[in-house]
Amino acid sequence: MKSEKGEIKRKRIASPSGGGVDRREFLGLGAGAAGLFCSITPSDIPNLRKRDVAKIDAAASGLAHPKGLRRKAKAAGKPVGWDPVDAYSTDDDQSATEANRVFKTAEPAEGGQVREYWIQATSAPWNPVPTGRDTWMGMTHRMRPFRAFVYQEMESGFSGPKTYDDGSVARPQMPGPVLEAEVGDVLEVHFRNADEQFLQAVTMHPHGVRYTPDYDGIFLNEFTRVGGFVAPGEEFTYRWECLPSSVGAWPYHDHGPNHVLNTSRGLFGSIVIREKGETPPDREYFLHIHSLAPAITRSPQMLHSINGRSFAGNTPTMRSKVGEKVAIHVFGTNNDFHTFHIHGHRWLDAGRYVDSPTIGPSESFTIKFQEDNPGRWLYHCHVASHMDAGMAGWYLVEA
Amino acid sequence: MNRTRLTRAGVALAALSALVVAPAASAYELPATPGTLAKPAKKITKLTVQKSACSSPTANKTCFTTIQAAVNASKQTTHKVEYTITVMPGTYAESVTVEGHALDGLTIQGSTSKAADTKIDLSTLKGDAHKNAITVNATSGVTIKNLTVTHYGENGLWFVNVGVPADYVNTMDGGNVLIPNPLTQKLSKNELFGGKAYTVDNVTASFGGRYGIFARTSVGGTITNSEAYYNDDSGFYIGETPAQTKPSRTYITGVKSWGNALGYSGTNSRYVTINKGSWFNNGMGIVPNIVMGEHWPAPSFNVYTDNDIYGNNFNYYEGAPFPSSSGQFGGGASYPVGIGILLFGSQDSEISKNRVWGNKLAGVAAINPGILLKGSGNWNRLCGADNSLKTADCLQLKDATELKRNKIFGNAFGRLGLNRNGRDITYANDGIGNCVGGTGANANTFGGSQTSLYTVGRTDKPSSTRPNDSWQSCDKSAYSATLPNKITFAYFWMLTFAANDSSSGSGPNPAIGDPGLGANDPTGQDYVDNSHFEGRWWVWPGTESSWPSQYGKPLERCKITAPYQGCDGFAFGKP
Repeated sequence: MKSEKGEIKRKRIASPSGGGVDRREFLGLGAGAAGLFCSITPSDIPNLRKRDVAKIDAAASGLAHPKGLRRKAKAAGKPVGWDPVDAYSTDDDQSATEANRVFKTAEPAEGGQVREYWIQATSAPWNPVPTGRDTWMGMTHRMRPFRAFVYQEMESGFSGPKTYDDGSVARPQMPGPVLEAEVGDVLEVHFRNADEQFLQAVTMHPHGVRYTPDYDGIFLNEFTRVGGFVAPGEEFTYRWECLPSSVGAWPYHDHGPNHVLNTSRGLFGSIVIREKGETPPDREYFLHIHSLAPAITRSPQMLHSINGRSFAGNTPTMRSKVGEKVAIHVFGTNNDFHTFHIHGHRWLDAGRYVDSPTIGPSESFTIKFQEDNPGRWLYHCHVASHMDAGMAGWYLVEA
Repeated sequence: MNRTRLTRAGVALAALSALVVAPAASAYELPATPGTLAKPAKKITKLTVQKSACSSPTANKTCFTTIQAAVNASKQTTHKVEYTITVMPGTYAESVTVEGHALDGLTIQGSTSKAADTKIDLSTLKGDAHKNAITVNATSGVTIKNLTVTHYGENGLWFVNVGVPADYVNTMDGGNVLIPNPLTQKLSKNELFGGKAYTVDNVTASFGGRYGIFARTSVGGTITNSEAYYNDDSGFYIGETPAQTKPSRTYITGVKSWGNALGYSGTNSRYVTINKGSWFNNGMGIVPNIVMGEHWPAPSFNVYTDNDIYGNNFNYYEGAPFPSSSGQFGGGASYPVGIGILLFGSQDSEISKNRVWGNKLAGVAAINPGILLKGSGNWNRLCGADNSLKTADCLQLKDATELKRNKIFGNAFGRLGLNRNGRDITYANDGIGNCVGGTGANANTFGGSQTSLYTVGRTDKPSSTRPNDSWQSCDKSAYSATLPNKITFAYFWMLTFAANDSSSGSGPNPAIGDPGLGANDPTGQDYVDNSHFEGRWWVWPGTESSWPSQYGKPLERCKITAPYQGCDGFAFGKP
């Protein structure tokens, strides 16, 4: 409408559709769907049915923004009984500035630096067995691609996929990009939810580094802080501190409201923190050990996977030469316990030599050795049902 | 001052001091209900607009003869329908307004993939109807594609209050709302529609009195494969982006902007990525800038990467083919002419991997506006007219005027010396924690023998009050973003810089064809380049069709004959 002066005045416009689904409804939908969930998202992924997944996704994409819940709770006088730490917020409190924030933003230590990454979450077609072959047993496994939910490294400003020094271009993939830093550094991760298919809030939650609650990247219903709910089209910058206690390899993954389904779809990646000035090994591999359930892949077969692929020849083929320093970072990225075995090798682990250590959910360790045994070797999880369903790969050592 | 005036990129002092006339303060609150995540639309309904009469029945009409009528028929009662309006080829003389969430998800598209087939031409309209070709106010998820908008008195496409909560900004009268602290006001929740606030694809915007494609107080836009030329202020403009803790980024990708006063203007713009574009033959190419009278200074968290930025030497002070809404070309602000990218204030922004050549004054110039802005905008209110207040609000406002933590690396300047910039990078080293170049892919490559890194002579710089922000490397091993946060002083060197070269009566600008850069030219060489306007311009009052034929075809544009080969000239020649 226009006033006499010809200026256009904006009308009051109601926000669309209002309410959304609150936590109780979401939980109800999940429980109604399969009857076995005690959390907001399902944990029994292997037994989930396709229609349960659809219902849970629909509920997750209709989930109300947690800040609304929080504000509602406050308005209703709910904060009574909350721990005082919940009051310190950066996005609720309009007067919050860096100076008066209780939780400070991490800065690098003396001599440290900011390591900047641009990472988006996006959906992508993904075939767990792209060759259709298991080169260990010589079997055929035909699979169709499914819609994965994965991280992808981008150029600054999300201006396009990252082009690496060797000319290769970052693809959306399992696992997500490796975040690399040294003690004293700060990892600055610009994270964007670029997904247009699932329409759900997602996050990046790191292990091993230090962070304040704002940079935790976890959905906590009405206690959710700013980095714990990144809706489609939104971007959030995480800052994580790399302390001396952060040295090693750690996973990061989605910890949003539908984290169990979405990490099962591929939202996970690796962090490696080195000592200051440490020389990286000659060969370095990052192996995420997980599964791809029928409800996720829409295939009748339960797949056990390494980095999103199943069966030797599809899983990563590691290579090295005798004399090289090799580091293999292993991550447990699903609900199961695994053992990690490399034929022909053993390595020192907490004072004793091992060749099949156990690894549990979100546990991670680094295997380090100097290569001395050439040959074609198999590596695999020694849980027989995992190994037989694809959790194995090649390690080729040249003399 | 004219109250209906829009935002603009004030670069000169004269403009800054004249900018703000504020109405009464209006405090506004954040919305109580932040809304829900967007859901995909359930159904798409198709409408058609055509020049010839429609034969469809009056009930359940799907055919219209004006775009506005089709828009009016697209209002939803629920959120379950998405409308697509397909406009058949032809020229439409109407100003279209899309307003409110009842139109969320609307698409307006030309029926062919050639933007020139379907035109909105306002040249025959008067008054308000002549101002904006398409206005989108507070409607999310609008897509506009395959269209040409032309001969508008103000803006070609104007997005305002898009993707932000209702009543967040309650005026369309650019930039004059006073809020308690224009910096800390944050956007709590955006109202994106399926993750996208607005989408522009394959739109041409030409012959405009202000801006070609313009988004103000909006978030989360995508502008691709579009072109803007002959706009009196800028071809593309993102202004007053709300500060957001979880920003929705705006992309300007693969566009072409030429023959405008500015190729791109970004007054207090935030979270903008500009890449893969061509910015040439404008007065200046890409100009993010700070204006204290508008919301959310400074321009922050922007990335300008992988663009071609060349020959931005269009001296429109000598005349121009576009109309001027203000009566003075360039919106009345005395911008200098001849700079590829000018950071007039900026924070946490990046200029990387661009190819920058043939810009007469400088390839990239960076100015710390600092206390230059004293007294303008909200300064007196927050810091006191005598600058004596030291409140947190005041300190924060002053902090916004600092040029901080910007990175300039990996750019190729001067076409290997074949087509130089006056200087490749000029900077007075008076910001905080900015970095330039580095090794490997971070290195800038420079164009030939002229001064590459040119520190503007700042003998007046109060060096005792701040360390020199020397040309530190952007290499990650050398660069740290942890830097002191000091409020100190800066001066507007550009005026000195340009004044020495002035040969034009209408602005502090060197005219094209001047013998070099005068006393400030470090090389003493003349500028040699064929890729920019060689002729002078004069005010051309007519329309395209009335262009005198002896001067060539009026719409013959700069043709890029090959990458890095510049242009083979404009048909608008010397009179």
